[in-house]
Amino acid sequence: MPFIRARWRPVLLAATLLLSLQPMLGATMNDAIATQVDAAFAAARQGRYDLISELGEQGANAIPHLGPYLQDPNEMVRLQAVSLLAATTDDRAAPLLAKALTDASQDLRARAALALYEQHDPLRLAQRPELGAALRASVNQGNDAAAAVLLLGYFPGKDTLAALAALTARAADAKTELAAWTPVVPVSLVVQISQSQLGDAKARSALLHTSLNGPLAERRFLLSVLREIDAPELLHALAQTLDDTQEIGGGAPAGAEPKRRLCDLAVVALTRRLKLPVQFELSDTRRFSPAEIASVRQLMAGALPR
Amino acid sequence: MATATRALQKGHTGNDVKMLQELLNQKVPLPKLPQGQKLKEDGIFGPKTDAAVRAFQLMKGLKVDGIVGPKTWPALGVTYLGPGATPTPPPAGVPVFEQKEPKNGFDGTVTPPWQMVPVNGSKTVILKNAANLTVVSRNPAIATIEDIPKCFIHGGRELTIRGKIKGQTFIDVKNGAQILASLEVAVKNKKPLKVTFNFVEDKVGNKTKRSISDVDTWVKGANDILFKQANVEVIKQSARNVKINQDLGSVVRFSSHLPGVAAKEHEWDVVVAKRDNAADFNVFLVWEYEQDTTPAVDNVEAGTSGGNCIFEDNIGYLTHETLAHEIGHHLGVDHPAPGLDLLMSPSRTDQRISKEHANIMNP
Repeated sequence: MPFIRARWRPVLLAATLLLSLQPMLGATMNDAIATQVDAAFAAARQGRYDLISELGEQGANAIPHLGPYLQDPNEMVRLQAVSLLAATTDDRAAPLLAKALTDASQDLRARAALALYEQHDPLRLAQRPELGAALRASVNQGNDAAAAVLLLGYFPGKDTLAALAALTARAADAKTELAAWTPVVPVSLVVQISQSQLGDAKARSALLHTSLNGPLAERRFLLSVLREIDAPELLHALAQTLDDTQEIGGGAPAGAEPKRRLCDLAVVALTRRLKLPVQFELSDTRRFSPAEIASVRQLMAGALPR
Repeated sequence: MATATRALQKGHTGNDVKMLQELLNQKVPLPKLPQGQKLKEDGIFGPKTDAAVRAFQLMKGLKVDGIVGPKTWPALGVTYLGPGATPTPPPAGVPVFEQKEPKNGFDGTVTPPWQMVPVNGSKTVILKNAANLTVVSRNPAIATIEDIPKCFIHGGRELTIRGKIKGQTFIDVKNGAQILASLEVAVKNKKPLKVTFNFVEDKVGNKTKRSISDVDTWVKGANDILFKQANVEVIKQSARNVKINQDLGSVVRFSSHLPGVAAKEHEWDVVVAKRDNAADFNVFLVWEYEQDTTPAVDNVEAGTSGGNCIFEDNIGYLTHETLAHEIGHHLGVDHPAPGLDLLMSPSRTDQRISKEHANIMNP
């Protein structure tokens, strides 16, 4: 509805002007951002989200003003607030995302977990015990998003182990994913990754089997979450994917030839995970030569104990 | 009587379009056909066939929308089975589930057949050859089932399945303790997808011919495909003009995967850098796009990777259908094996989403 935009345009212009005078106007600038946030969410309530997108271009400035919108009864308003928080790496977003982990909507719980997983250092997150509690509550509430389950691996304790065990029992053969385009895998596999990280030998043994003999989608998923895999025997097992030339796509758009292979994903994932000093440029789209793949295999042997 | 297994509209091609053109030539008086001439029976549903369909719909008092579907096909004397339907009747006495309407989340090509049902929503299926049999849900906490107490022209029963919580269960047709047939039911949460449409113009004036005013129509069309079959809801986040401060030439390219192609040819990154970070998926509308070693040959319509899509002006399919196809890629579905005619097939006549693909798009 065009009238909304026209109605708020003077407010936005004023806000933009105030922002340009930032060094001189501390508190006033804060007020201007708050006004802009309110205008964007007023439009969102009417089903117009372009002002939210414009707000997103301001980076982290809006974060301090987003809290109330996470409690809004309108799910689309809460979704827009979570999306803005998900677009920043600013530390101030983490506690707000933690609140969204127990939203009534599973979509929002999953988005909050993914934002925490992708945008924030998990070791720093692990220093916030309240986040561990929020993650457990989220998972117990039915959040089976891979990001929530993987982050639980950073919060040791019997409560976490109980939440993971309950999820396995509840999930049966349910599937989940990390990002929209990453492989869809059993919830139980993701739980095993966290359990292994927390020292569960049985889960580690199951992961070892999947790493060596599992379906293509599951081995691909393991390579995409290599950050969470710390056991050397698992990393060595996954290094066998350097020999796997099955085409997987990804990296380049669908239909683009030549397609990427599992071994190409393995080169990038293992090199980044182990900080291997390779002498070629890493790329998420190209195929690597046999010599390049061999060099990764050789560097791994020296970088990781057996 | 002839049968049709899909609804047709402008942009479709195939033998069923040819059959449609033959029938229109027979049933629509010559003065009412475009330019007073018989249609060329070439199997291509173009503007003239569209006009003839609308003339026929007007004659018959049908909704004039140019779509030859469940009402227009029978008016032409064709039995409409719909995609995924079983064209041959089942053996007498064997209960069988069928779709109530096409493109509504039913996959009859798998065993047992499969139906997507939204959490807090419902879907209706047809059950034939089961007049006096008991129908139960294995897990009513996930999905419940109820009969619609009416007589139907198809002679079977109609069952409403209501989704309660996310999960998978089965609807069983039983005779005492014996299960005679089952329907797998996947109850899915709604998956909202916020999409921003970026209308691109480069530094030297190359720009898309598309119009921002069409976006709402594309979103509605994509939702008719994705929401009904996979419970994925496309939401327009924003539609805006974006200016790229570079001459992108006559073709915008993705080429970083191609050995030997100069790095400057790979223009994808400079375009998608303009993405809207508040959106889940950014569509960049450009004049021409290619992703292979022969950029002068126009054989690609769009490319999707990493939450971004570049989408050219000149496509061979309906815009909303290609949009739904590219969103399918964004949600993790690759092109299926040759021979399948699905939304995700690179060459297609159908917009059907299979069980396998729906479960990837919205696990």
